[in-house]
Amino acid sequence: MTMRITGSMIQRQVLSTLQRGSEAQFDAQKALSSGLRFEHAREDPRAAATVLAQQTRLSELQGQIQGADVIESRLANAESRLGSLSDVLQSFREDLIQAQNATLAAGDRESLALELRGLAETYVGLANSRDVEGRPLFAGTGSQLPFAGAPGSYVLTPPSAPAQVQLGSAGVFNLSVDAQDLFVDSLGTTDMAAVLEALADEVEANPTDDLGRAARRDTLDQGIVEIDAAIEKVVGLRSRLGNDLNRLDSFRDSASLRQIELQSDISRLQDADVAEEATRLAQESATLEAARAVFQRLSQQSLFNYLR
Amino acid sequence: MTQLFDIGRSALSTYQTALTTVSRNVANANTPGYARQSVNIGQLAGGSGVDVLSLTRSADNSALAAARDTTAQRAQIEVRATTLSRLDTQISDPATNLATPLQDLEQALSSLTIQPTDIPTRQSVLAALEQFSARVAGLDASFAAEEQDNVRSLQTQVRLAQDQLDQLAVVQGQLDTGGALDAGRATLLDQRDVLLQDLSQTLGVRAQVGNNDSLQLGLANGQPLLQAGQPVDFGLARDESGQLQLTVDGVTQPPRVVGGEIRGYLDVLQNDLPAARDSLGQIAAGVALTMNDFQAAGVGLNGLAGPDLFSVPESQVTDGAENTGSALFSASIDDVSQIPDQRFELRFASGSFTATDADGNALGVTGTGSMADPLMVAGVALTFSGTPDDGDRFVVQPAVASSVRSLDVDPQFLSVAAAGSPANSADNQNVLALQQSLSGPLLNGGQDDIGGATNLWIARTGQSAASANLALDSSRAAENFALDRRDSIQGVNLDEEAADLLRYEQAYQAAAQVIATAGTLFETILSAVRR
Repeated sequence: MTMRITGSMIQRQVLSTLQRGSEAQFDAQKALSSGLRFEHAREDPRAAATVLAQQTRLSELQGQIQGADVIESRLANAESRLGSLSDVLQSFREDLIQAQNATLAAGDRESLALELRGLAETYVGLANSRDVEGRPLFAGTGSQLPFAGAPGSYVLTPPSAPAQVQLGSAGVFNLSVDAQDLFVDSLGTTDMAAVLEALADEVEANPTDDLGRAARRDTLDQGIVEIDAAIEKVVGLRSRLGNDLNRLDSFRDSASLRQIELQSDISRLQDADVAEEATRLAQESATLEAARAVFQRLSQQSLFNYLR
Repeated sequence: MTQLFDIGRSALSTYQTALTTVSRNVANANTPGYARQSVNIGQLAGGSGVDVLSLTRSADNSALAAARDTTAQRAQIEVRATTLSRLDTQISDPATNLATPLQDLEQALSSLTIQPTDIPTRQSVLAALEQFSARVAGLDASFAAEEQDNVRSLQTQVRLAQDQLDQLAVVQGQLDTGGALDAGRATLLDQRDVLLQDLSQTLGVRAQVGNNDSLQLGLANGQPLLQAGQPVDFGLARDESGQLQLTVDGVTQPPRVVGGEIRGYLDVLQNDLPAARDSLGQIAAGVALTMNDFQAAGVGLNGLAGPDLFSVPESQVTDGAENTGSALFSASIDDVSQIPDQRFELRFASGSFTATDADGNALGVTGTGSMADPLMVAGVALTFSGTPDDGDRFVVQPAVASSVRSLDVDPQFLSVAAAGSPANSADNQNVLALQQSLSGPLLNGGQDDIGGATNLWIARTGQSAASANLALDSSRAAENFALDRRDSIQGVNLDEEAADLLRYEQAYQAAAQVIATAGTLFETILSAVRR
């Protein structure tokens, strides 16, 4: 027995084809206009879960990349200040060598001492540098400037260790310069401002006997050694900074590569393939059109048309 | 001669009836529930002509039952799939989901570790938390609205089911008066089929048709819906666990015995919506308590421990409707990492408490419930006053999402620095510790970090909605198949009717010709006699 096909069956059939077709057409249209293959998790739960996990990783990474920029600018700032600091110490050293010249007149010594005191003040000023946020550049996590007080009576607050962060696999970075033993002499007992000011006083002093002059030479010699040590510390810090900046660079390179990977992962999972969606839209529209035409034809066909 | 007239007349009236039947079929080709009728034609006794012996109504009970069952199935799944799709839209949309503010928080905290004292950076952390809190509130409000909508729809459907059943009782009453199948009775049967089909869509009933068109109508557990021809009363009532349930003449029916849309709404109200609200509460509580712990563990720019960033998440205990004891519970979260993402039930029997989770698994219970020694169940601490009676039940919601709100905190009081740091310290150790704990095992018994739990929730909801939509597609296909089968048996094919029309018309014309011929014969005889 053949199956009886009724009007309701044809209608149901065509209706469900039309509904499915409209849905598919709507989906393709939505994908084309939003540029996304899916908008909500139900459309592709597995891809949605992966995209969410990747987005979390991506935002973490972006936070680190932004952070690397901040650290870099702060370290570069510190590096240039350290350069000036080393220049100041260098000039101080040269003036000391000049001061060792026994033939200098008292007036010359006075003006040399004046210059040395000026350099000492510049030294303190550099040590008290602030970053763009207005925080002391060489204070570690502390908020107090290393040197307080007026020339001649500076008081040193020894800087604390700087805060650190871990940037991915690039390792641990100091957030600022580690200046914990930068502003003290080689023994770690006297602050450098005091050392420099004492040397300026020594240059200015005018011993009358040979014993006094010999003692001064010794003190100045000792001072040059002390300043050499200080310069060495600054240079050492600068080279460590340079090293950190290099590490930051390589972190940024690998991070931006990783960022691109993550972004392309996310895009691959969630972005619509425009060519594919456009084709699908055309296809679905054609199918829909055909289904409508078929329905039109079927609903017109009846034996009753032939009865007279 | 008169026999010729009689035979012709019987043929005329027979084919007139046949033509009437065909025209009724044609007229009702698009009437829902109409079953095609046909006439059985047979000889009259003694060969004295032809007559309509009986009317046949082309209906098949098993095809009708299959159509009803598949429709009930589809209706049930459709309600759930629709709600789950709406939930998924809310939970996974980038404009409303919890993942986005948590990602913002992650990024802001990353910046904060590097700029521990920067006020705009601190502000961005607070902004992410505010956003998180606003989204928790938004989701909770939309879940609540969804719940109200579903309750209203459920009430509407129950009233509809009552109307359908009442009409069915009237139609069945008329059928029960008996009689042979004629056009009127066929119409009643059609009406009954439509009402049964509709009632299946609303309630998913079991119908058995017996001799003389008698009807046995009931729920899956055998609860009859027509008693001595009278319709039962449907209603809704809250059961001892506080869930809305269908009642029949005041007696609560378990959800599994009903089907159709009502079952769909019951499922959504009893499982999917509470699960969504409880998961939301769990994640919100996890973030709130972690952030408050963070504030207490370090110091702000003023050198003091920071104030709370969130209100304290609350637990909620609902007493069973049939409790007879006087126990009054209060609950709080003791260990957020242990709280389940769904409510659980506490039961008192023979002097002790037992607890079961939403899936019916037993949960460990320790303590006595006094202030000094609270009951500890799944990370929730419960104390009570009064005394419970045997059989008393309490539903415990571990974390209520609406109780979690972000508080206004000055960015300088964010505890970024380790405890003991001086004021204005640029230390970042406490925020590093926070990052560590946020990415550590914080929820679901130490299985997931907060971001992971959130992503998992989003993916799981999406998966449920996707599965429900797939099930809906296949149930639609099954329904269409069953409806096609039903219609191929009882539906009207116009070509077939047109052919029948031709056939009966020709037979009618032929019968008329017989009478005309009889007339001619009669004339012939008359004229022969006249001569």
